[in-house]
Amino acid sequence: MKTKLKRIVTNPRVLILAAAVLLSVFALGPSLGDGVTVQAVENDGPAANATPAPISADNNPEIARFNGEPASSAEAFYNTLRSLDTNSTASLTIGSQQYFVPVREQNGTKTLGLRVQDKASTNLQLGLDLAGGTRVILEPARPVNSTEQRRILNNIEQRINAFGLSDASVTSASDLSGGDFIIVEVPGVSQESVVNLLERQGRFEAQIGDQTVFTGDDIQYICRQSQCSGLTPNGCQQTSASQWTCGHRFSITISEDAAQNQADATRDLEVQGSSLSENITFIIDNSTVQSLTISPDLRGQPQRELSISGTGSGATQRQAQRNSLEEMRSTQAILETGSLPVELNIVKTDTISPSLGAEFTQSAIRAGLLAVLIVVSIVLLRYREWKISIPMVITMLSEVTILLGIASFIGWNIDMAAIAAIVITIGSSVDDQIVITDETLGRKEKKRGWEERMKKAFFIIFAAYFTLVVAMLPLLFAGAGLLSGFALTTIMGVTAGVVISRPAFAEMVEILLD
Amino acid sequence: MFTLSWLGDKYVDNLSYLWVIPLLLFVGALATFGYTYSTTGDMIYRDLSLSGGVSLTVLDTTADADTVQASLSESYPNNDINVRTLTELGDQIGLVVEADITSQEQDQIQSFTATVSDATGTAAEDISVDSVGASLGQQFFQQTMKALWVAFLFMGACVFYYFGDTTKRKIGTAVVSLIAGLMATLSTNPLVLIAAGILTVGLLVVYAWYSIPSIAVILAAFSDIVITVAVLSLLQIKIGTASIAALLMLIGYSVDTDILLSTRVVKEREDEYRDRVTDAFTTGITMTLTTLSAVTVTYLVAQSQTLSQIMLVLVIGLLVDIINTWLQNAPLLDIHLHWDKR
Repeated sequence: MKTKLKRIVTNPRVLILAAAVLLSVFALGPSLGDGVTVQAVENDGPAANATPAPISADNNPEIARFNGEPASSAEAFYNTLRSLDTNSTASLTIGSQQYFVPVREQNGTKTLGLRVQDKASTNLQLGLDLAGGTRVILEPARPVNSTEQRRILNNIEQRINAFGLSDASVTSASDLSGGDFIIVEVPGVSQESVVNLLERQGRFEAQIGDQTVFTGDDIQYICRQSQCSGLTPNGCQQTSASQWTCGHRFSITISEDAAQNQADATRDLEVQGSSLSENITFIIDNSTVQSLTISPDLRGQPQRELSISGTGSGATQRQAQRNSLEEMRSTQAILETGSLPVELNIVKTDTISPSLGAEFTQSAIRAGLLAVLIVVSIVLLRYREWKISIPMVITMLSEVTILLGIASFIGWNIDMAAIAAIVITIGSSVDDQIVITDETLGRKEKKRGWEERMKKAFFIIFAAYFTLVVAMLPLLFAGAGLLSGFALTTIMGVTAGVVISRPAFAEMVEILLD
Repeated sequence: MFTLSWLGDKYVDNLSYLWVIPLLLFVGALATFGYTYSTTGDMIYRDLSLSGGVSLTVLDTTADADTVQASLSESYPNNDINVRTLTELGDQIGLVVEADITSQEQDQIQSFTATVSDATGTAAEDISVDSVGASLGQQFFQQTMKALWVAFLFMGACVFYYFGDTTKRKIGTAVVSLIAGLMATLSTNPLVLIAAGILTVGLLVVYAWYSIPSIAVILAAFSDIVITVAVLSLLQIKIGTASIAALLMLIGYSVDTDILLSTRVVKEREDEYRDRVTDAFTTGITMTLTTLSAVTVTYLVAQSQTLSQIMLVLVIGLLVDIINTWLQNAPLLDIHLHWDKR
């Protein structure tokens, strides 16, 4: 038995399998212990204005200490934050650097202007349906060329950054009939705010009478400081029993040319009552945001600083205030990043709450483990031979490990469909192992040599493998890339199987049964 | 397991007339489509990923599906609303609410979400929302159908490469399959699609003429898909994009056993014919049973729509595949070998 074990561990195919598993474990980088990492930093928020330097979410740094205490989990972090006083200063230790961040209150909750998460236990990136978050799929209203496509992607990315979501992903996908899609994924944000932000093309115009005096391109500066942006003082009204409306305003600065244009347009207007005969109207995407009267003393005067206002509503005053501020941030982000070259239609939105994602992940892991368990029991029943079952379990587990290792190495997301693909890989792995086993066991008495029998087994295995791969290929490109994760994971899984682990299985069984 | 080889013996004894069963099933499948089409105007039941709509998932162990359904239908009398429970091993863990509001109507989705939030007492942030536009759903359906077509083209070329004859024909069919596949995927022009369809039929004729084993494998995979979809229609189970991905996967599992059978029966002629078939049968059934149990367990444990759609198709598909491999493909090979002898 000892010599057999020695033959196994020195067998080149088994060594290749062991190396692949080791590399995969390394790529997965499992980390023990708990901790908290910075996921996102809000633009212009407290963390972005921390002393001595702004905190950055790049590479998701780990927070070592929060107010002197070791930071163990995101939940503990937010609990501590809740206990702090507004406008006090919190200290964060990231690496060897200590940062001081003022505690602010926003919509009734205390914030440092950053979002933290429990430190991931592996390098594996979970898809939206497992990690929670919002995904919006947009389709341009007309076909776009590659330059326009790039502009749209850039613009949306900037818009999202300007809104304060730094860890969003913006990608494009096309499908088999040449349709183009833009896919925006944002972890942990309610769908409303993202949809509001993306829904609008953002074509801004200021008109006096029928004349456009300036557009979004002429806006040079958008104020976000509290003295020139925020809720309108005393601007809340209860409009019905369960409806509140709150106003907001912020100032913008336009170019000198634009101000001159505006002055020229007002020069010849008549005075009617206490104002000029025409209003100045701000329009975003063909709908009037605001129409203001112009006071007579501004006639012919270039005016560079203007105030834009708007409203938000909700069931309670607090909710209306929150929505109004969100609306303001959304408008600011849209004005800052300019308009999109084409209107975008929202064709699909998904929001997965983090709790549902966690529930799904758990049940998927349970399903995977149960699948391995039942397969092993059936094989044990069928062959009544540990010399086959043990290599089989090793092979299946190695395949899943290698698959996850490759996924973390090339950074593709493991989503629900990918988990289905993992179960399918297990199924196909067992299929192949049964072919190998029956070829070795059942035909032992016959005269053919082992080499020849393996050739037969691998003829079947490769024929089945190539057929499966070519059948999955079209799915890589169909339907806005939503199913490509399924196809890719299946192809990767069976490839790793037939190239690395299944040959090693054949060697192990051969040596053990020899 | 001696029972399996006993079954194998019984099976070979009756091989010559068992093919009636898959034929009846196939005819039954076509009848099911006809019936479903005549009653609903569509051959299958599409879920919202293919027809457009919104689906909300609420984790709530106490809310009663019927009560929520009643209160929502009252607030939204013009919408088609369906509430079902999400269970884990028999216990309710949440509710799934579906409505025919498409992603173009974002405002409506938001107010609908708020209503569901009120009806179940769950905060709006904890509700998962999935919405699909009607046009995207239609697009998805066409795309996945095309993917299925192209998968068959490529699969056919691959099988013919392994079981067909002469290098020239193998290269020829591979090239034609590739061209037809590209035409089908890259073009939306009906004339090009018709041309690709003609090429596909031509390929099938070539396979049938020169290699019975190849056409038998293709036929088995095709019947697997047709009968599986028919079973879903018969049970009024909705089909989504994930189900169609699973149908493609079914091609993979289906050819596994078919290739095993064909290789053992056609390529290795040194053993007795009877032994070859029983050997293939015991190996193949073990393969299918292990896979079947893995996907069944996953189906029973899974809560996510994607996972359960994929696994359900595979459960039904693998059961159908047992019939199509052993009662349809095997008799075809039997006939083929008898012809060959003459």
